[in-house]
Amino acid sequence: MRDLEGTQMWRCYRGSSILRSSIIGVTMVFLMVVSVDAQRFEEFVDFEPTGEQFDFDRWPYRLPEAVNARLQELAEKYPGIVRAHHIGNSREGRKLLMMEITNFETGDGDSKPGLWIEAGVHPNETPGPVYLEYFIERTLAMYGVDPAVSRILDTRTFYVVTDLNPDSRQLALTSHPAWPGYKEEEQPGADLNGDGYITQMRWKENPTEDEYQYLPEGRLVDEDWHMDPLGYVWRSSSATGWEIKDRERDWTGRREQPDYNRNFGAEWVSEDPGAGEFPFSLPEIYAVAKEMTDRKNIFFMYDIHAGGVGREWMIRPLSNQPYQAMHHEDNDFYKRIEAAWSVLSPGDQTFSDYYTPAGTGATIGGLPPDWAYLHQGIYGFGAEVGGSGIDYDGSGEVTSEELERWHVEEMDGQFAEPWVPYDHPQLGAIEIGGYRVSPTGPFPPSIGDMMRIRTDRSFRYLMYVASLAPEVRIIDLMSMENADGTFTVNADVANDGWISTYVTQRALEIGGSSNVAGPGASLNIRARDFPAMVEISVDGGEIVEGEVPQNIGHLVGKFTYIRQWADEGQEVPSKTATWVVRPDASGAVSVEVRVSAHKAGNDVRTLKLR
Amino acid sequence: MRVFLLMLLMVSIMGPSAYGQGSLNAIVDGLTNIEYDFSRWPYPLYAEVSERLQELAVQYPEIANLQTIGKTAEGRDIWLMEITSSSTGSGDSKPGLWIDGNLHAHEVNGRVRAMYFIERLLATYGVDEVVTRLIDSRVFYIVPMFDADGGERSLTRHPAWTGHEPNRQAGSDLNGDGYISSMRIKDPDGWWYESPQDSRVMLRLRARDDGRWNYVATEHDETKYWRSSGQQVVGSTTVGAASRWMSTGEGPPPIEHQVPPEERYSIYTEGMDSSYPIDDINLTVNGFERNVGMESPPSDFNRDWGAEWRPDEPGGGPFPFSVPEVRAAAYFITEHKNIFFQYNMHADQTARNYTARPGLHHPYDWMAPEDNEFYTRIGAVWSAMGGGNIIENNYYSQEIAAGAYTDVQHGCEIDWAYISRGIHALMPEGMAIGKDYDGDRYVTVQEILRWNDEDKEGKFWGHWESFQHPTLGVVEIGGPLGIPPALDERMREESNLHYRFLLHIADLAPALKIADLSAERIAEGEYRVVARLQNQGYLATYVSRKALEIRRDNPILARLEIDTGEVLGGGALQNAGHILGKHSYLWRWGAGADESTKTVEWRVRAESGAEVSIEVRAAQAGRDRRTIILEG
Repeated sequence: MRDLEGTQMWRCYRGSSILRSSIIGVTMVFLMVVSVDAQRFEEFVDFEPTGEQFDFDRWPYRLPEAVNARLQELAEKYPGIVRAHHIGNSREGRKLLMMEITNFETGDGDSKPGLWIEAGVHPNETPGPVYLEYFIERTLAMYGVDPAVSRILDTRTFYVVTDLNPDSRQLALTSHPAWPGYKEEEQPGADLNGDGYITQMRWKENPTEDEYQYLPEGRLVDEDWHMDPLGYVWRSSSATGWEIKDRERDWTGRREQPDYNRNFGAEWVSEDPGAGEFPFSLPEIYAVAKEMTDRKNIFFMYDIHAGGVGREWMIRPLSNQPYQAMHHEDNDFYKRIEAAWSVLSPGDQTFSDYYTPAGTGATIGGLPPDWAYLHQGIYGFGAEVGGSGIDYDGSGEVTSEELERWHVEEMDGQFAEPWVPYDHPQLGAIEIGGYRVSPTGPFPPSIGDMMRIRTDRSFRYLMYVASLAPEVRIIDLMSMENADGTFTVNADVANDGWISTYVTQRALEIGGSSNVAGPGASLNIRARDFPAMVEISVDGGEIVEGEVPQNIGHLVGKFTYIRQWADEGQEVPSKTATWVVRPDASGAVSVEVRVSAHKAGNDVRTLKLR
Repeated sequence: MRVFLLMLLMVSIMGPSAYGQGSLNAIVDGLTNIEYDFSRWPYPLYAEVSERLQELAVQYPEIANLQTIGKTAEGRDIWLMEITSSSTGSGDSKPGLWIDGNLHAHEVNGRVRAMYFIERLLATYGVDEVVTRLIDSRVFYIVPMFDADGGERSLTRHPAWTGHEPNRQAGSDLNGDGYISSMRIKDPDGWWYESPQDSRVMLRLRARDDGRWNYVATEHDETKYWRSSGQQVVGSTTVGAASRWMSTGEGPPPIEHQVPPEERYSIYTEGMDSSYPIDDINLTVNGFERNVGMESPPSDFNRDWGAEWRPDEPGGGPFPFSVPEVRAAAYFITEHKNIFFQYNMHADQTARNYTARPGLHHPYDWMAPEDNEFYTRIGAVWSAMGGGNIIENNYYSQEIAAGAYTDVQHGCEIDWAYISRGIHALMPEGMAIGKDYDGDRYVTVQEILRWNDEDKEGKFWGHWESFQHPTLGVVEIGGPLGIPPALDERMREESNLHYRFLLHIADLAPALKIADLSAERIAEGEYRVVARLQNQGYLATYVSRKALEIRRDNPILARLEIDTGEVLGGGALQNAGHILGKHSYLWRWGAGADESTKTVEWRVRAESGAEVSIEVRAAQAGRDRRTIILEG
C-alpha cells in the first residue's frame, strides 16, 4: 500500500512503514489444519453485538477509563466465566486489568491450559485493544449460545489484557481539539487554522514542481533538544517539523521514549534507547512478566499490534535468527498455525523479523513473542491487525485507492478536511487540510465493515489456537485381581491435544540443560516444562505399591505423533501408571485416578474394584 | 622494598597528580581513629545495623544522608547511605560510586566491610586530606545489607544464636550442640570423600583426565562430564551464531576415578531427613543456599541482573529483575546516571582473596582495549595493595576450567554494570578467617582448622561423631559449626584493604572543569564567548568504550545563561561530546600529549557590562560553573 499523502509513518516492529507493500504469495494449505479436534473456523455462531457491547463505527475509540469501567461491569455481569484482576498500575497510576475468562465451574483458571493475550504495547497502534474488547464481549456473550465457545471456555482459560499502555493510549485518543480530553500542552502539532483538527500542511518548494511537500499541521521547531509530555527528552526530527511544547530543559542529555515492545527480557538490547533502562523496567511490562510466570498453565502468548491496514499479518519468533535455528518440531508448529491463518485470512502471511531487516541489520530485542519462546518455552506470536475501507475488487487487500473511495463514498469524506490556503509563520503560503493526523497515520481510522470482518476473524483465530492446547486424558483405567487378594490398577494416559505437554522443545532444552552443575545444583534450574502427574485415591483400601503421585513424564501431542507416525498407523502414544491396592477386609472398593499437567489440564476417572 | 618500588612505579605511570591518582601512599595505613570490633560474631543483625546507620546520619548531617531504596521481599527497608558533602553540591551533581555488601545471604561479612567503610569515611572527614577531598567531590552510595532478609536468616541460623527461629531454617540441630551442621552417610554414589590430611574435612570427588584433575559427577550416567569448554557460551547482548542458545556438548574423554565407591559419602544438612544435600564446597554455605526466598527453586540475587541472563541458569529466577531487591537497586542505579562504578562485595571461600572483573564469561580481549587496560591497571593496584591478590574472571578461573561450574554464573551484577550500563565494576571475593601461619599469603583449610583449634578452642569445626538418626540409620554429624566468613585480624586487614582500594577507585572518576572562560567583542553589540573545558580526571567522560558502543554515555552539556541579552545562532544549550581522561590519552600517547581539553563557543547579542554564566555538566564527570562580565 503506498504511503498516503507523503507524511511520516509510524514505526512498528522494525521501524519500517506500517503500510507494507503486499505480497500476495501462494498459500500452502496443510490439510492438518482443519482436523478432528482443532477448531473449525466456520463453526462459530454469528455475533451481532448491541451498541453497549460493541460499536464498529465508534471513533475515536473509548478512552482507557471507560474501557476499565466496562470491563468491571462485565466482571459483575458474568461472574461464572470471567474475573477481573488488577495486575498492576501504569506509570501514571492507571489500573491495568487482566480478564481471566474460563468456566470456573469446570475448574480454576490455572487448572486448564491458558492463553495470554495482550494489546496496546504500541499506543499509536490504536485498533489493537479494540480487537480484544470485541473478543471479550463476544466470548462472554456467546458462552452457552455458541457450542464452540462453550467448549473452549469449559476446557481452556484466556488471560486478556486489552491495553498495556493506557497512559499513552489516552494521549493518542485525545489528539485533536475537537476530541474530548484534548490538552494542547500534551499534543504535538497545532491546529493553526482552528478547524478543530490537526490535519496536514502542503506546499510546493517550487511552483513548477508536481509534487507537494507535506508536514503535519503545526509550527516548525528550531531547537535541538525537547522534552515530551512524558518527561523524555529527545532530539527533534526535522522531518516532522512538529512543535512540542517545552516544559523545561532537561540536563540529562539524551533520554528517549521507551518502546514497550523492546522492554521484555529476551535478547534485550542495551544500545536501543527505546528498550528502556533495563529489562522489565516498565511497570506495565513487569506486571505482565510477573503474572505470566506465576501461572504455570500458560502455553501461548499472543501480542496484538496494529500495523495492518490494507492487510493484516502475523509475526513469529525468532526475530534475530533464521527459522532453522529453532528446533524443527517447534518450527513445524509455527508453520501449521501460519497456514491456518492464510486459510482464514486468504493471502495473509506470517514471518519473523529476521527476514525483514528493513535495511538496518540491527538486532531487534526485547519483543514479547521472543521472550515467550526463548525464556518461557511457550509459543509466542504477534498479530498486526487493523483496517478500514472496502476490498472492492476482492483481492484480499484494501489499497489506498480503495480506501479513498470508501472514505468518499461510504464515509462522506468525514475524516479529511478540504485544502484551504494559510499563511504559515515560517513556511509562508501553504495549504492546510487533507486527512486528519492520527497516531496510526494520516488516513481513515480502522472502523466500519472492515473492522467487523477483521475482529470476527481475529476471534475465530484465537479460538482455533486455544483448541490446539495439550489435553491429558485417561484413556483406559483397568484393574486386575492378584492371587494374594490385592488389585493391580493401571491407568493409561495419553495426550488428546495437538501440542505436546512440554509445549515446545525449547522448554525441554531450558529444563534439561546440561548447564546444571554439581556444586550449587541445589539452586535448581527453574523448569519451564511440567510433566504429567498421576494421582490415585482409594475408598475402602490402601495403596501398597506405587508412588503417589507418579510422574509419568511428557506426552506428545498430535502435531508430533501424527507427523511422525501417521503413515505407519501407529496407535496413539500413551503411558501407564500402576499401583497395587490392598482392599479392606470387606466392603466396596473403588479408586479415583486423576492425571494432570500444568499446561495440559486434567482428567479424572473412577473405577470400582469390588 | 619491592612493594615500595612498585608503588613508586605506579605513581610515576599514573603521573603526579593534584588529585591523588597515585593515592596508594596518600592514605595513611593504620589510620584507625575509629573503634571497630572485628571480633564480634555473629555480626550485628538488621535492627542494630539500621539503628547505627540512623545514628550516623544524625551525627554527620552535612555529609551523610540515609535513604531507603525500596523494600525487601519480607518488607524490610533496603538502606542506602549517601555520603557526600552537601555544601559542595547535591549527590547527583558529582561522580558516584555504588558499593554493596551482603548481596548473597550468607556472605554477611559484606555488611561489616560496608559499615567499616562508612564509619571510617565519616569519622575522618576533615581529618584525612584525601577523604575530605573525595567526599567533597564525589558521592558514595552504600548499601550494607542488600539481601537484608537472607542476611538475617543467615545470622540467626543456629539455635545457639540470638533470634533463631527453627521453622525458618533448613535442617535442624539433631544432636543438640546448638548448631545445624552436617551429616555424612556412606554412599557409593556420593560426591565426597574424607581428606587424608584432616578427617574433619570432606573433599569433593575428582577424577584425572590425562593428567589433569577435574571435578566429576557421579551419576549413573558416567558420561555426564562438566567442562565449560563443552558448553556453548551464550547470552551476549549481540546476536551471534544461529544456534547460540543450544548447547553443543562434547564427548567426554575417558576418566579414571580416584576414590573407590566404598570410601565415598553423601553429605546433608543436619536434619530430620536428607532434604538438603550439600553439593557446594563453599564453607559458609553449609547446605543452606546463598540465596533468599521460600519459593522453589529460589532466586540467586547475583543471577537476576539483566545482562546475559539465562532461563537455564540455576537461581536465575523467572525473569531478569524479578527479585524485588535487585529491581530496587536497578531503578536507583539507572536513575542516578552519575554512577560510574559499581563495587559488589562477596565472600567466596578461597585460600587467597581475589576480585572478579567483567565480562565473567568472555576472554579479556572481548573487551575494547581501552577498557581492558583499565582493569589491568586497577588490577595491578589491587595486587599491590593486597600483597599479591589477583584479578580474574570466570573465563580464566581455575575452578571453571576444572569443571566445577560448567557455564553458570550468568546474570551477575558486575556484568550488568559493564555490559548494559557501560560503567566499570568489580566483584571482590573475600573470606577472612584463619591465619597465614606459614606466611605464604595463602590461608588454606588446614590453616583455618589450626586457627580454629589453637585460637578458638575448636568451637567452629566439629569432628564427625556417630548419631542414630530417626530415619536414616547411623549417620555422622560434624563439619563447620557456625564458622564466620571473616573475623579478627584478617578481617581488620581485609576491611582496611577494601577501604583504601575504594578511595583509590573514587579518585579515578572523570572530573569536568571550566579551565578558562573568555569573551571578545566581534561586532557592535555582539560577543563571542569561549569556554575551554577540561577533564582533569583519570577516566574519560564517557567512562568506558562500552558506554559509547551501547549509546549509554552521558555527553557534556554546556549552557550559556544571560539575563540582558540573547544567544545567536546555535542555541544556549550545546552538546559538547566527550573529553578523554588521563587513562585514555596517557595510555595512547605517553606523557607527551594532552588531550584533556575542548572548546565550546557561543555568540551573543549583548551590551558591555552584561553578565554571562557558563555551566557545564556531564553526568559522571560532575559540574562546573563560571561567570564573566562582557567588556569592550
